[in-house]
Formats: sequence, structure tokens, C-alpha cells
Amino acid sequence: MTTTDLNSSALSQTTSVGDYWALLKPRVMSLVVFTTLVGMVAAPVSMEPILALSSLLAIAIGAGASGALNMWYEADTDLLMERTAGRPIPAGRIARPEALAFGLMLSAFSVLLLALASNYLAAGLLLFTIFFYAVVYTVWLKRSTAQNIVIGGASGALPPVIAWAAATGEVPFAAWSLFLIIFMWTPPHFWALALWRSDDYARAGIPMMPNVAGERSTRRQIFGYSLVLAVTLAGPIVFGLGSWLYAGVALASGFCMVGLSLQLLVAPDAEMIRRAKTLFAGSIFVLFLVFAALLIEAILGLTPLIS
Amino acid sequence: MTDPATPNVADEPEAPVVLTPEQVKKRQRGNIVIALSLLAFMALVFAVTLARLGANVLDRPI
Repeated sequence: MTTTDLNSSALSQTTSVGDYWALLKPRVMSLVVFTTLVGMVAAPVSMEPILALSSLLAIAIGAGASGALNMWYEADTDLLMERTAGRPIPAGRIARPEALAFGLMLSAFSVLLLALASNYLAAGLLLFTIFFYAVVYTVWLKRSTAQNIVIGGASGALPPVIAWAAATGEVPFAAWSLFLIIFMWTPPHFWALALWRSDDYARAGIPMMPNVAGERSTRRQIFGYSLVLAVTLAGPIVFGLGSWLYAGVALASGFCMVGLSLQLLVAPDAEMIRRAKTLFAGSIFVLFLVFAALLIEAILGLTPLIS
Repeated sequence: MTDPATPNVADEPEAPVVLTPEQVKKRQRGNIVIALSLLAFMALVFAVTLARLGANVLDRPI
């Protein structure tokens, strides 16, 4: 399918609601919803329920909007990669200009809704997040540097900060400790994926670390970042967020990530992809567990270890 | 500048676009989704506005 076909508005006659939903990258959105919820609940100020839910919805839709904008821009390279060729635009289910309009509209609505439901700081942070992901990462960094997902990872790490800002009007160190965890988690997570999909990325000409620096170097860097991640997991405790439950989960998770990345580092080449897939799956589980621990602690009202 | 040899595309009569019944149904379903989404958004803004004003605003003479 050529680029002109992707732009054909005749496609809008066959587009279904499910295709628009897929544009929003639902799996990414669900992670954003979860980390946002934790940020909101962990923050010391409790929001009025309607405002809290609306803010959560706005942040989630903002994340979805950036996904749609990303899919709009990357329609051509998505077509070249096996992993992404089934997405709505390359698969010919949505016309490319429709995705742009959809993404822009949702971005505007979500930022305005957040401004109404919370405050301008949170709305400004959401706007920045969308801009950072859609423009700085998608348009600029992704095609130009192997550090693309390291820097671009800031977008995925911001939602708990936005949630905290929505709840309290401030972004203290405690909020940034949550940012830092996701930020340091992003490179091992995505480079594990890149190791296993390096052919795909090579075909699309995207400079992911394994394609640029090689598999050995990538495995070493993944290990390095996992060590840093393990340290950042202590952040919430240091800044007065985590109690004993979180401490235990953070310790176990740190060991888990370091252990998995070490296994990947020392694995023989034949085993590499299998280890990379395990690390990828493990990283999702670990992030979920760590944030779930904070959520449960907030619900149970456990006293932080450091106040 | 008009060249009589090459007719202007805009002047040619267009063949009407005919949608199959399946496509008409899809379009109608899409339109309903858009309508419901707009209604939901309106309701959301209303609820958020009420929440920002404080619940006392509901307590007023008809």
C-alpha cells in the first residue's frame, strides 16, 4: 500500500470505532491510567471524586492522543515493521489525515478538561507531555539517535507527576521520585524489545541501540540501567512515600530486574532473544507490582518509613 | 491561464459516490458514537463545573 493510499479519504467509509480505539494504543493507555491513579492516590491531598475521575480521564485521553499522533506520523515506517504493520493506518483501516485530526482534537479536549478539572500546572504538564512524545520523540529523536527512547521515556514517566500536580498543585521531589522510576525503567524495557525485534527496526531504518551499537553493548547498557533502576526504587521511601510493604516489593523488584538483565548479559547468543523476551515481560510485571504496592499502601493508610 | 486542450478537472461532472448498505450502516453507527461522545463530554463538563462550584449550588429555589 503506497502513501497515497494511506491518505485516501475513501477509507473513512469503512473505518469502525474499534479502529479509532486502536489508534490510542490501549495497552500504553492502561499503564498510564494505572500510574496516574497511583500518583493521585499517593499525593497528600485528596481530590473531590468527580474532579479526580475527570482528571484521570483527561490524562488517559491525553496519552491516547499522543499515541494517535505518533501513529499518524509513523504510518510509513509502521508499514515496514512486522510488529506494527497491523496497526489501523498501515493496515488501511483509517485514513492517515483522520488520525491526525483525531489526535489533535483529543489533545485539545484532554488538556482543556484537565485545566477545568484541576489546575493549569497539571494541564500545562499534560500539554508538554503530548508535545514531547509527538514532536520531540516521534518526529525528531526516534529517527535520529540511539538515545531516542531514553530521552523520549520522559513522556511515559510524567503521568504520575501530572496526577500529583492535579491533586496538589505542586510537584515536589516525592512526585519526581515516581517519574525517575519509570524513566530508568524505560531503557531496559524498550531495549529488550529492540533486541528481539532488531530486524524489524533495521528494515524501518530506526536507530535503536542494538542496530547502532550492537547487541553486546545493548545488553551491557540494559544491565547498567537496571542497576540504576534498582537504586531509584528507593526514591519513594527517601521522599516519604513508601512504607514497609513498598520497601519489600521494591527490594524484590530491584533484584528481579537486575537478575533478569544479568541473565541477558551473560546469555549465549542463541539464548539471547529468549532472555530478552523474559526481561521484557518481567519489566512490565515489575513496574506494575511496584506501583501497585504504593497504591495498596495508600489505600491501607500505612505510615511511610520516613516522614 | 486556460488551455482549451486540457479541460479543468473541476468542470467535469463528478460520478456520485454510492455507498453500500453496509457502509451506510457503519457511517450511521459512527455518527451515533460521535453524538454520544459529545453528549458525554457535555455532561462531563457540567459535572466538573458543579464540582468546582461546590455542592451547595444544587441547593437553590427552582
